[in-house]
Amino acid sequence: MRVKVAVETSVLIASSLYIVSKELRSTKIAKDPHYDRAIKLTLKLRRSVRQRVGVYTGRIARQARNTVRDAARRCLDREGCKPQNVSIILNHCSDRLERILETLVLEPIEQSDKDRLFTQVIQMYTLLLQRSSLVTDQTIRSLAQAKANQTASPHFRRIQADIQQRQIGRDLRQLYNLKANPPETSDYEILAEVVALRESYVTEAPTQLLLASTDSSHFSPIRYADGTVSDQVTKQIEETFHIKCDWPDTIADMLPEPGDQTES
Amino acid sequence: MVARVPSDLLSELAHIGSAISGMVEYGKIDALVTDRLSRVVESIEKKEEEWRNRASAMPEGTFAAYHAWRNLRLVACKMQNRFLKALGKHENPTTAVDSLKVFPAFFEVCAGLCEMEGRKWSGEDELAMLSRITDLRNIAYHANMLPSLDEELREVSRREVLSEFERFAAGIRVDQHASKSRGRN
Repeated sequence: MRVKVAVETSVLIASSLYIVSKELRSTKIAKDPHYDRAIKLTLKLRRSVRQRVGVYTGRIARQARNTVRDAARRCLDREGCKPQNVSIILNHCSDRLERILETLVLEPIEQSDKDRLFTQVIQMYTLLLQRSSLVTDQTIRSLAQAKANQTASPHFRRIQADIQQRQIGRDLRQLYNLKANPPETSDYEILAEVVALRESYVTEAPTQLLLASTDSSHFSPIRYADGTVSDQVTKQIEETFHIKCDWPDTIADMLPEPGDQTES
Repeated sequence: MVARVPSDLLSELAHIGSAISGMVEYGKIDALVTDRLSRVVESIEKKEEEWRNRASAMPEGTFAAYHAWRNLRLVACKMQNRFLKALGKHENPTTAVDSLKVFPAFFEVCAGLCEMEGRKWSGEDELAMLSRITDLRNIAYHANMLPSLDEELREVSRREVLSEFERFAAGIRVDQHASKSRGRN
C-alpha cells in the first residue's frame, strides 16, 4: 500500500525555526525536543522527495506563511525592537519554510469536495465536544469511586479511588483538552482538505494517508513518557475518515527508508 | 513626509532590463550595466533608510515597505557584485541569464512600492507586498542572487539578532499553546 504524509502547519513552522536556530547557533532552540521531533520527519521527507511521500495543501501553506509573518509583526510591537533584525529573521524563516515546501507536493483540492467534507468534519468534532462536556472533575471522581468500589477492599477504596482518578484523568486527557481548546475554523479546514486528499488518492491506488501534527488537542494523540496514550479524538478521526494522525517523529519512524518504498 | 521615489528609478530599471535581455541574446556582458545598477542601489538605499527611520513609529505598512526596499537593495547589490565578478572573469552570460530570471519579480516589487508612495497601506496591501517579497526571494535563491544569512548578519549585531530570534520563536510557541495546546506530555 502506498503511504502519503500530509504535513501540518505546526511541523512546518517548527522545522523552519530549527534550521534557522542552527544557522544562528541558538542553543536554546536546538535543545528543545519539540523542534527535534519535527525536523526528524522533515529530513526524512526530504530524502524521500523522489517518492513524493510528503504533501501539503494550500490552506496549510497559507497558514504557515501567515504564522511567520504574524510573529514578525508581534516582535515589532515590542519597544526597542529593531526593524532590521526582524527583517533578517523574517527573511530567513520564510526562506527555510519555502525550501521545506519545495520538498513536499502541493496537492490541489476540489472546492466542492472541501465544502462537503468541511460539514462532516464539523459534525465529527461537534459529537466529540458533546462527549468532552461529560468529562468533568466530578464525573471522573464518580467513575473512579465506582471502579474502586468494585475492585478494592473497603480499607483500600480511598487510595484506590485516588489512583483511579489520576488514571482516568490521563486516559481522557485528549477529550479534556479538546473541551478546553475547541477547534478553530482553520483546524476544520485543514482536516477537510486532508480527507479530500485521501478520497482522491484512493481512487488512484490503495493509500494510507498520515497527518503529521504536533497539535495534540485536535489531531495527534497525547503520548505519555511511559508509552501510554490518550487518543479519543485521534481514534475518532481514524474511524470516521481513515486518516491516521500522529506526531512527526512517530510518523518518521513508521516510514520506510527512502528507496524502500515503491510507488504504486 | 517620505521623499518621493526618484522618478528615474523605474526607467533606470527598464533600461537595465532591456540591457540584460541583450546580453543574454548576444552572449556578452555589457560593462555599463554595473554603473546603472550602482545608481539603482544608491536610490534604493535612500528609500530604505527613510523607511527604517519611519519604522520606529510603526504605522500600518511601514515595516512591509522597509522590508521590501531592504530586500530590493540586497538583491540589487548581489546582482551588481555578480556582474562585477563576471566582467573580471570574462564569464559567459550566466550572470545575465540569472539576472533575467530575477528581474520581473524585482520590477514588480519596485513598481508596487512606487504605486503605494504617499498612500495609506491597508492590511491587504501589506500582505500582498510580503507575498511579493517571498516570490522575489524564492526566484533570487534559485538564481543565486540572494545573500546568505552570514552576509546579511554583517550589517547588524549577530547577538541582537539571536536574542530577537529566540523571542520570535518563543512567541510562536506561546501563541500555538494559547490557542491549540500543542504539547506532548
